[in-house]
Amino acid sequence: MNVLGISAYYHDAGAAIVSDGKVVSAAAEERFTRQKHDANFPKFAIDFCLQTVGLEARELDRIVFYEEPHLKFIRVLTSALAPFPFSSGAFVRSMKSWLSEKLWIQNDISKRLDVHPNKIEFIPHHLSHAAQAFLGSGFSDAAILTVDAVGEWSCTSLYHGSLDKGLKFELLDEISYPHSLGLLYAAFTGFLGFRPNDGECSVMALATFGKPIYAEKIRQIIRSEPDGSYRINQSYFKRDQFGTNPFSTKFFDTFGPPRGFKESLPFSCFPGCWSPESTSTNQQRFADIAASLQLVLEETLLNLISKLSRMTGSRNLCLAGGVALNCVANSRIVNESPFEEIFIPPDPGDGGAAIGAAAYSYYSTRSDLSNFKLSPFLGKEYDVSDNVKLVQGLDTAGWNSHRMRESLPHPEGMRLQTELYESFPELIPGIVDDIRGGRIVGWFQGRFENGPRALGNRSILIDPGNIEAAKRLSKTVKQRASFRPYAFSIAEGSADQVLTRRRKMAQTTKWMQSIEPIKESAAPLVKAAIHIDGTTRVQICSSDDNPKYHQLLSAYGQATGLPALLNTSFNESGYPIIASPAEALIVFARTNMDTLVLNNVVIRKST
Amino acid sequence: MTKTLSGARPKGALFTSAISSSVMIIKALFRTRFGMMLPLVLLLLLISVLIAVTTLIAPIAPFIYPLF
Repeated sequence: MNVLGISAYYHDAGAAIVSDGKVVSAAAEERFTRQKHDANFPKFAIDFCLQTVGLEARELDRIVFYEEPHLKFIRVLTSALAPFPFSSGAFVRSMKSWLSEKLWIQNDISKRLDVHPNKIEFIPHHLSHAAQAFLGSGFSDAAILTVDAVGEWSCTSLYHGSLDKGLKFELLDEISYPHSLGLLYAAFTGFLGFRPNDGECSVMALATFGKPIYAEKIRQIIRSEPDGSYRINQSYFKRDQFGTNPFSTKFFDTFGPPRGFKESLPFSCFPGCWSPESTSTNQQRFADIAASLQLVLEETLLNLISKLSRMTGSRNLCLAGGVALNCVANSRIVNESPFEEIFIPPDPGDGGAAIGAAAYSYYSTRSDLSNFKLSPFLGKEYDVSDNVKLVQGLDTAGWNSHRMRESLPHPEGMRLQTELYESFPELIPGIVDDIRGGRIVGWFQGRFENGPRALGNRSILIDPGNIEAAKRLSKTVKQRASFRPYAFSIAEGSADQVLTRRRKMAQTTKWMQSIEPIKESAAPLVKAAIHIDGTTRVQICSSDDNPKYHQLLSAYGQATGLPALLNTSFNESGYPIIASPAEALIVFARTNMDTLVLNNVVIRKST
Repeated sequence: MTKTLSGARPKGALFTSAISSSVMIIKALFRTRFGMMLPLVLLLLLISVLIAVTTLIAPIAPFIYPLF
């Protein structure tokens, strides 16, 4: 039985296929269209999913959409009508898109894929999130918390999942629109000068430079209820203009003017590159607001989790929804919640909800979950041979005219050295030497990761102790704001050499979903990948999870004493993580990346 | 892997999908306690059709006409 899951039309469209109970493939549309957070119908992702099982769409047994658009339409309609006629502009815009496209998704999918409309199902948005998390966790009983911007009506849902008498999700409580933590965080993201639904990680990073002196004011917006839930005080927002100018005068009176998108911030994670004295009062205000928002978000999530623990009595917790990407909040949950085990899927956001939709549809009438295993490595695998032939005949003379603006000019007479290896282990010593020598290495192996984290298949790697290499990486490859810290990967078994974990929850560190404090004694070894508060987002990599990457880490450990590498996603700023070898070559050509590894092929820039 | 060989889009799928979606919208209205709005919605839809036919101008969104 083959079930296709689809998410689309909000942000991060994606597709996944569950075949005979196994998740065979999953990918976000952005990886194929190169448009970050692409929300359009995921035609390319669906084509890829169908190719992996060798089926035509008409041969699928079911197609499941990750939310109920008809229910969502009622929310959009009533929300747009409530402040009418002040909302007339927003009303016209939303009705145009709903009446022309979104409301007729059943027909749209049927037409685009040439499938019978009766095969198309819809499941509630938060149930898609919950199903992915619970089924992927392997728990037989768990409390489930899903928090995001908004589904149909629900913004936060509390479930109890169990396998006792078949798969069962009991909805214990939900907090409905407009009381949304995700929308609130996105609104503050815009206020702090970042792109909403994209720059939330920048807010989280900025928070570390601030003091939570606005926390009491933010608690006036996110009001805690005695039962552990919360309400959002709407007097700070203009609901009729939420898409364009969501803030009321009261909001600006409380927090001051917003930060412009191009207004600079002086903060830096690198030692000696920032001091509080070099920061203006206004710049510090933005960091303080970010710190306060982050603190109150964490408090609110902890309250919800305590409530969920009381309601379920379970020892296991599953987290999903876009807010579960907040790795700082996740760490507080790991350390302070009453749960013994916590699971977060590799892509807890909307892209991953396609997996949940398909899996729920397949397993809702079954109780044997032995086939279901969630992995981040569900994307497309590419043959690199054609690209390697292309590189061998390539003239690099014109590369400078295409290079990224911030990168340094390629030297005169730069040549490419290409080496093809018979087997993967043969290339490792050379790459270890490159990284130890301060070179920036693009690392491309196997299937790309599904989800926002690069976990060793589409990564850029450097020595985690080399600050100069990290600065060069930030400026000439990633164009990354220097206040955003890097993450690092470490081979399983060596984590305790550098981390001081209060509670060792293997799962949240497996896929970079929480931050961990670094031991003071180990800090110099990984100083390029530490935030100013002494923490890092870490991937503890096992040979089961990613054998090739684990092999590289181990070899690096043998050479240096610490099997750890600074690991950041393989992309330029503003673009999705690369998918194909051609895209890897483009980044290699446009930036100051020094070495590119494409499966068993190593390409080096040399003069 | 099991293959099912039926299931292409039949003729008339546009009509059946439209009916099915409309039914789902009506069900959604009742699920969200807005079912009482249904007679009003139908009345407004009827008026909008009459206006569109009388003025020969289609609405740019429900009940919003370029003339007004």
